[in-house]
Amino acid sequence: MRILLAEDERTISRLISQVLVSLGHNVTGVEAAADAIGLLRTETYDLILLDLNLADGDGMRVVEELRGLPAAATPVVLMTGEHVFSEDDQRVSMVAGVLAKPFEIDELEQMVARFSA
Amino acid sequence: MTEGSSGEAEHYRREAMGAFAHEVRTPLTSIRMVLELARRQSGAGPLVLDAELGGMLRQSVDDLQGLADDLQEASRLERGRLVVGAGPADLSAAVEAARELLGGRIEIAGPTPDPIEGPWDAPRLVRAIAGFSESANRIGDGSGRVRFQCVRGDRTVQLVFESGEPNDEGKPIAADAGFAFFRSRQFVLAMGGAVDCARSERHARITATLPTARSGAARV
Repeated sequence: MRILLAEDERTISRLISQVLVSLGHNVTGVEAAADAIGLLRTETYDLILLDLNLADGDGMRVVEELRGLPAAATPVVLMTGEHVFSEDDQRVSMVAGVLAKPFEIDELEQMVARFSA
Repeated sequence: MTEGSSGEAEHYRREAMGAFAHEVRTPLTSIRMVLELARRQSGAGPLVLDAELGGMLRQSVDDLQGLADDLQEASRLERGRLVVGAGPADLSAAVEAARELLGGRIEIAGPTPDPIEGPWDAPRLVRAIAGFSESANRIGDGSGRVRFQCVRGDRTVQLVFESGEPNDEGKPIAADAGFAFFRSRQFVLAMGGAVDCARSERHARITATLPTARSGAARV
């Protein structure tokens, strides 16, 4: 799969990339919402892994902008450290999945596998 | 919001804890992932960390230690268990040092103020200026550029950090300002100052007011 990884913490980004590349995925990493939006205007991805707090603000901005792009159907998995991110949070309904930090590699792999079929 | 009432103080305390709880999860995630990758690489043998994973683990532990130290410092300041330095310190030197501390990640845009000496704890003043810049950028437009202004008053000086353009969507200060905001605010209170934050969608204006002359007891 072609995966866009938007995560501004470099260590986490490198670790996630390492895991996903070892599984045979093609990973493009960005640190800022603006960069993610820029790529989504011109590139096609099978999955977007999106940190909620990016270097230039709220990652949900990417989700909102994505709606108006040809790539609108691309599934988004939100990664967040918000411990109060409840199921009825409106943001949950806007994405295909949520990975709550701190998550295990197994959880990451299982989440990505959901979209690999 | 300007602090003052116990309700506001409690609001700030609650949001600071929320910010801390959020930020501590980032290094924890890295540590979990490093250990699991090392376990996989090591197979059935003893756990071995290669240089890259070892470096990531060290960085994550350092980040965790930094957060813990910041929390303890802010907590001790709030309880009056830690006394801040009383200077004198120079504001213009502090602004320059904060620019250096941020290392270009965030630009403090605006002229360096003329030298102004005050009864401030110089290292904490530098960290507060850097911290407010980070927070203003984070809850403002995220452009990496924060407009900075220094306004000299009668017996005070105001440091204004602004990002984005004001609009009608007023929002309260909350955990998403980042722990740097709450830690910096505690520094300013301990130096006898006050902090105000006006915030709307993709806009933040943080104003830290510092006394330029020593007065009575510091507000902590």
